[in-house]
Amino acid sequence: MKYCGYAGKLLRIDLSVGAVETRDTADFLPDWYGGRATAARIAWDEIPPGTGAFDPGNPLMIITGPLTGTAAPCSGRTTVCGVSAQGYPVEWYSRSSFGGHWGPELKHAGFDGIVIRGKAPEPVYLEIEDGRCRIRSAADLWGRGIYSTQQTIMKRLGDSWRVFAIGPAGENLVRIAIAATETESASGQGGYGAVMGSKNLKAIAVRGTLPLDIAHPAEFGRVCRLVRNEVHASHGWPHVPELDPDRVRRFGQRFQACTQGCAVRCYDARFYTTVPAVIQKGKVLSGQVDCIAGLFPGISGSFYDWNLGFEAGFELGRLANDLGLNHWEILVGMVPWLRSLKEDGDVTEIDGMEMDLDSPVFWEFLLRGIAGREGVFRSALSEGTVRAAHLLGLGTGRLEEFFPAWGYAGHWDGHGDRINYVFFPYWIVSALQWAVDTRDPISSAHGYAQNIMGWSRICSPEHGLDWDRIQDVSSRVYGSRDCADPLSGYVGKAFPAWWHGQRSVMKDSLTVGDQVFPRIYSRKTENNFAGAGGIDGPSFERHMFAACTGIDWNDSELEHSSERVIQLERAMLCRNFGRSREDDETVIPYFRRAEHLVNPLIGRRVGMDSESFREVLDEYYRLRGWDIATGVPLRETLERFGLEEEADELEQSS
Amino acid sequence: MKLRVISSLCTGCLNCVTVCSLARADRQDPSAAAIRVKLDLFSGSHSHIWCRQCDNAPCASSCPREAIVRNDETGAWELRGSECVNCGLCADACPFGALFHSPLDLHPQKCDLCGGEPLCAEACVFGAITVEG
Repeated sequence: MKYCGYAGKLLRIDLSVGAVETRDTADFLPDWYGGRATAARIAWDEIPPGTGAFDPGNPLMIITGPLTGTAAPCSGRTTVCGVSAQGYPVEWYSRSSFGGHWGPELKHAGFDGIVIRGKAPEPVYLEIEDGRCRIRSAADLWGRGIYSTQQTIMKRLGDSWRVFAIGPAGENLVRIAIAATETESASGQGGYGAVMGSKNLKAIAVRGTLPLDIAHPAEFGRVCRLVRNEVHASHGWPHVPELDPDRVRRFGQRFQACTQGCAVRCYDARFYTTVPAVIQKGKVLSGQVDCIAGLFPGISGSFYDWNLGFEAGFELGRLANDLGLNHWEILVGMVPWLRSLKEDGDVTEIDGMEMDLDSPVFWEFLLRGIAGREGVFRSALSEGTVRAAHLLGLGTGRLEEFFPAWGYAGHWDGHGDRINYVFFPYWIVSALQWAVDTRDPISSAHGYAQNIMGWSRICSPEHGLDWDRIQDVSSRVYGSRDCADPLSGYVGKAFPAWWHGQRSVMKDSLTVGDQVFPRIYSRKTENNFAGAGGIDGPSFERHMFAACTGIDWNDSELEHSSERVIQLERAMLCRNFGRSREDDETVIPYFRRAEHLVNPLIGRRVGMDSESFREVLDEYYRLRGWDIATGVPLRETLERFGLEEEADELEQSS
Repeated sequence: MKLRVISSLCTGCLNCVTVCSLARADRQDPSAAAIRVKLDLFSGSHSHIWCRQCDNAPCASSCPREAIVRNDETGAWELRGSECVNCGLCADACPFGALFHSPLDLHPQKCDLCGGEPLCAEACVFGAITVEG
């Protein structure tokens, strides 16, 4: 059958020999239906055990999905997969994603994704336009920042081109290097900027005018319209200080979509047109501030109590983006860890400069040094905080305050990172999601913990739902009120971790915004269960997918295919990297610490009980069909997903 | 009825373009859209090209086949494809460049206000595109 929604081809590039080939996307369909799903199939087939992040054989996969760039709301994202440079204790297979407008442009250029192998003899960038791909010299781009690289290429080729680029951090193989497009859309986690750098690949420029067919256009338009109208009012957020009205006006604050197709009034994505620089005096800066970048100025009197002021914080956020550094790692992991070392008296200066987090000059020194691998201390930090602590023999005992596992700082899990409010027992689900992942499991954590907290009256005093109503609604999805009961403890936590696992794959494969889907709660229905036009909220993605592609799956079939991705990824982690239950349990020490927010119904701060958690992990393994003792997928499980050959290979490898 | 566009409210989501192209061409084809957005991602100042449904419509008066006719109910100047020979004179006459003409197409892309319920305005969550009159 003809599959619609897809551009139809995957680009396969070997930079070592300059070879450009294509493969039909249909070879992977319908099972491996886009983005993360397609990448998992390629990874199992093409990444042999022993492949490291910087090996030329590591395929860097940058793949869109069938909904990317269509009228589907929040569908501008692109997924990045491959062996990750940030992964810890080993560089292992992981993923990242980014928004902006690059992915839709790639599809209109005729390609659903790009698989890049090899290492170019000299720095290069890719020029992809309407079915063609050229490998160009990047001699004049190497060393430039991400902004300047984009602007140079756009000046050369035209301002309708979209560019995904790395900065000096990626060139220098900094393990927390991003690759990014526009002013704030990064593939932030995973260090894939360094993977690009290791291939001598500076940038990928795309421009396309080719159409994308839609299987059932009228139905697709109808469903997209329903979903768009449903998603456009989002849940609440923890209170963060607002910029004063005078500076809002002077700095030209406006709202800017963080990705094509945005339909959500999240008010978290702001663009500033005229911010006076503090470090580079006389300059006026512009750019977008999304999500974590808002923490750069610090928040007086809070956990993020450095006091740089908005202007300097904005400038430093721009600088980190331009150099190509991971905001999340720096602001939620590295700097809190450094601050704790300073409090302990273990660190007072870094590479000869006094550590003063209230000083923009110190921050600039820190960021430039990490990106450029300068000085002993900052060179170590360029390996990521966890590796740096071990390299420097410093502060290893304080890592577990901020880093749950895998070399990543906390993220929507009630510990470490205090900007993301989650209290017990909801972070038990976050802990399970962390335990079985290779990075922060944020796409899943947004779906469960952030969603519940956001819809609660804690984050949304005026429009939130009471706990009874949250349980009423969530029991329709999870089958039990325990799964969202604030007093349920460890009961009913495995199921949501299991369910959101496949929903996370769905978001990264279709692709749709991970902050927005799946739709569960709503203020637009009487019973607060999301839905529109007779379609339940959790089925929105499937209806858009079916109308777009013509693949007429029901909810269970799309969820089953999404779980197949998790099974194949897990099988590969076991085959290639020896992943085991012992690894999964390394998240426990972080979560055993007392949470940073008090559950108002319990009235005290709670830490994880290891044995209770191990029982929940048993339950999770049973739901997944993994061996309770080892955490390896059972043969019968892989066979249930049609992965017989993979089961054979996994058995042989062990 | 007319579209009112306030570019300073545009977030660059391009929902107007994707819904327009889907409705007009039954596929995702930005070149089939009757509204265009030029994104400036580094300044955040996006600009729009859209049909004003002018009262004196130079496109209509320039058409040798009288193929552009006002719909009295909606106020939209509508292009009758059966009459159009794709000469492009209407596109040349439009002072806003809001008729998109390509020799490869059957006829130019001309906004018809979707028969009175413009999809672009509905899809514009931040109110950059609204309907007036």
